[in-house]
Amino acid sequence: MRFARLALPLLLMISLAGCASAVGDIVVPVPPHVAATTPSALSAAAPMTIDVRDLREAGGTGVLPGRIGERKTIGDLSMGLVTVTPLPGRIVSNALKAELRAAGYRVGADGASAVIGGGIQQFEIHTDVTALYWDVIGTTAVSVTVTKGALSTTNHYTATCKERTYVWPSGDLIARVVGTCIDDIARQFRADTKVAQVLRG
Amino acid sequence: MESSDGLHTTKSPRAAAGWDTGAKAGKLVSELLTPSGTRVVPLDDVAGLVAADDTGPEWPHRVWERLRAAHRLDDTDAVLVLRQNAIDSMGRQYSPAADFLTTGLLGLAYGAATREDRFQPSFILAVHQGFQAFMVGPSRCSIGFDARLVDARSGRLLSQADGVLGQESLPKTFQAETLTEMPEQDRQVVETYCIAALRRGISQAINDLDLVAH
Repeated sequence: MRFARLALPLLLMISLAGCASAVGDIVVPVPPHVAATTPSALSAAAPMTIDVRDLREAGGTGVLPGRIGERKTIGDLSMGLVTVTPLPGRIVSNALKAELRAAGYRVGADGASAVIGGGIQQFEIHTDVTALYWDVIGTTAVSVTVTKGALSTTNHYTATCKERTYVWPSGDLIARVVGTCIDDIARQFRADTKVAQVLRG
Repeated sequence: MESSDGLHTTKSPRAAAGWDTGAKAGKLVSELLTPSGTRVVPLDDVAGLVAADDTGPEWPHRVWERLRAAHRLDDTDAVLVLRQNAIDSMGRQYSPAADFLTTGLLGLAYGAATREDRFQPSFILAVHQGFQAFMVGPSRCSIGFDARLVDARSGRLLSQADGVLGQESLPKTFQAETLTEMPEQDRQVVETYCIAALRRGISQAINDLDLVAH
């Protein structure tokens, strides 16, 4: 009897804790971008070492690092804020590094012949919700500057990605949406002939 | 600040943190509304608008009357007033307290005032350790307020939101039981997350007041 009296509150606590993990603020680990194996415009230059820096993030008053959006439900009710890890500037720079390595370059600061950096203009997700489903929409806008010697080019890449769920906008789904946008950004970078020209020059 | 390990709770007196919360609140409103095309301009030296014990439903109108008398609304469409509430460490809010923020929208300004002509913001930092952290979760910073949107020309109440809560969980444990005992690094973490709580609350207030098209 005593065990039952203890077990019930414990079971309630555990079940409520399980509920709390589904709704509320979440931290979403974003898997690293995997470079495509198709030929890239970047391969046009001779192999070299390139220093790739994390992209700068604009931030804002009271904006916590990595916080990119919010999940909402019917009635515009907040179901918690979304934070990604690693930080957006690192997510994008890691994607650029993956593409450069796939194109045959070495990535690192020591002995670098070229430097790549830039900034994040937009890196966010939001949800559009109906009675039947949620759409999770990711929007990414970055500027990437490539400098080699006296040559330099700054290029802007944008991506908007969406995935629909009839169940719940989970962390895994958000990670997929972010990942799809990053894949698109990486594809644009890989195909950018202006970047290839600077690296060749 | 309230520190608890589940067996022992310490409540320290309110301490000035020096975060210039009034200015940050105005900046937050501007950051949140400017992308939608709303113009927000600072209001300087707004002081003594409403008495601390003025808790009747007409207090937003009295704020408007005083601003209008001071010709601070001549180029404004609406005024946003955020009146801070006293809250406990669980984020529960009581009747309005002395401190509040005033933000003008759509063509005017933001500012801050208290009955002492000097803004004194209050956050509640609840530090949870040990068993307390296990039972109720991590340390939290909270701020609560009532929000009113008032027509700048007529003084008519356009919308309101009561008991808006901004709250953030802090990702670390703290050993100090008072803010003054905290090392500088911990105080910076507290400031970061408390201002994030303020942003969250103001974002919620803007949403509840229907200031942004959905």
